[in-house]
Amino acid sequence: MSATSVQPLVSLRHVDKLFGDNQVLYDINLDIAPGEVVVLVGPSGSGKSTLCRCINRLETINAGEVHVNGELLPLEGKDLSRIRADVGMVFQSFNLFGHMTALENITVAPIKVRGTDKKEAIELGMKLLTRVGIPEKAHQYPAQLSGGQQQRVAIARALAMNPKVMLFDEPTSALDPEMINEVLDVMTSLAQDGMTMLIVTHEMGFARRAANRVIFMDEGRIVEQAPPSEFFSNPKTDRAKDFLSKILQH
Amino acid sequence: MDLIYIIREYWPMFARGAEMTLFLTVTSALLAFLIGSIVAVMRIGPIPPLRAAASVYIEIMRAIPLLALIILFLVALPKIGIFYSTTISAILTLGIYTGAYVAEALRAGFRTVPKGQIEAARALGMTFRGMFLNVLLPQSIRSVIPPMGNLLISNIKATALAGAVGVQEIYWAAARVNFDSARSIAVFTLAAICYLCIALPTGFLWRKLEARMKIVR
Repeated sequence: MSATSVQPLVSLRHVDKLFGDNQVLYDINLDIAPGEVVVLVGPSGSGKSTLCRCINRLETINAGEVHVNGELLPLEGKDLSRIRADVGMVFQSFNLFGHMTALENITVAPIKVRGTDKKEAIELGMKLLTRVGIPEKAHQYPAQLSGGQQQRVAIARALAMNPKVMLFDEPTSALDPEMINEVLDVMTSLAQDGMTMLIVTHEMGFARRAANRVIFMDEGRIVEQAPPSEFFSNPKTDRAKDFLSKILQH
Repeated sequence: MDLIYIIREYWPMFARGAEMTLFLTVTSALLAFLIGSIVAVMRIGPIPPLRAAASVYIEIMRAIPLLALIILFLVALPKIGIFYSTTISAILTLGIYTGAYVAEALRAGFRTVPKGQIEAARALGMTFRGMFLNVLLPQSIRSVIPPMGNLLISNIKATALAGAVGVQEIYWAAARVNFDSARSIAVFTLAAICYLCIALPTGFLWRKLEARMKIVR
């Protein structure tokens, strides 16, 4: 559903991306509407993560345009930082700041970037830690937390900036199996609260449950997109069928 | 014994020399730290021309022998209308030279911070400055303390080269006394002892600092 009435929160137009001579994204066109939960799936190397990282310009693009909240992404500098502050990001490897406690990880950006009062930031931080289910870990350092706990802190850290959209770049791929669900539960509840999300994942169960739309990528191109019920039960392209048959076997 | 004779007859010269060596060490080390910090930030910063300038500076400074640099500064600066005392010229040269090594040590320290944390900081909307001050610097300080200690001790020894152009530090005093007394072994043994008396405590104090920084999380 490419809604024409509502302005998309994220909009990619004819985006190409190359690493050296190696083209990893071909003519990507994608709109994400406010409140929409979009899940990006596809074989590894298909460009999902790169696409995700282009949205806040952690990767520069070689052609095309990226708009966030109606604004063209600037090349560098303060304007780019301002837009990034509105785009939450959760990484595969958590990337918590190692010298800060869980709570400090969450409060540092609101205090330093938004200029939020310290007391207020701490209150918000505790609220978010409660929301992700680990308020008792507030004063622990990342090295003292399990992977699942670290990733939940990372989600809280992104939420603390009150983002307009959240990007998840394979948020459960580095987790032990028993910790995957605690992270997916937090993401599901976010989706239910109406957060706009783009999620790169291999968790097909989650995609089925939480997504409004599934996008299938292969070899740098968007090959197919549909609501999850349709995509999983009735994929249209051979490549999607092939991918699903490999993934859903076990 | 020659050594006792030399100490008795000439100790004021060595004492003044040691004072000058300490002065050269402290001033040039501070200057080197200042220059090194600025160059290191330029080197990793977001502005390409500054990055390039920092690289060029580091490569050039590392490729020229310090003695050549000290003499060059001393004879070349007056030609372009800049006049300093020999001492000031030596301090400047030492600071600029060691600064390149400080910059490299800092850069190596910055690299110990995982790239993902830098991306996370940028993704949260931190500017380069905010990322640097809140994420990069606090986590790299501990890892740069040992190499900084090495540089500080190198710098103590490097000040001897200032004696070659007439700055009246320990090596200069030794050369003068040697000329006077013709007791080379005793004279330069005493000079070596003077350097030891400065360098060993410095190394000891630096290790104390290192140990202390380890406890801080």
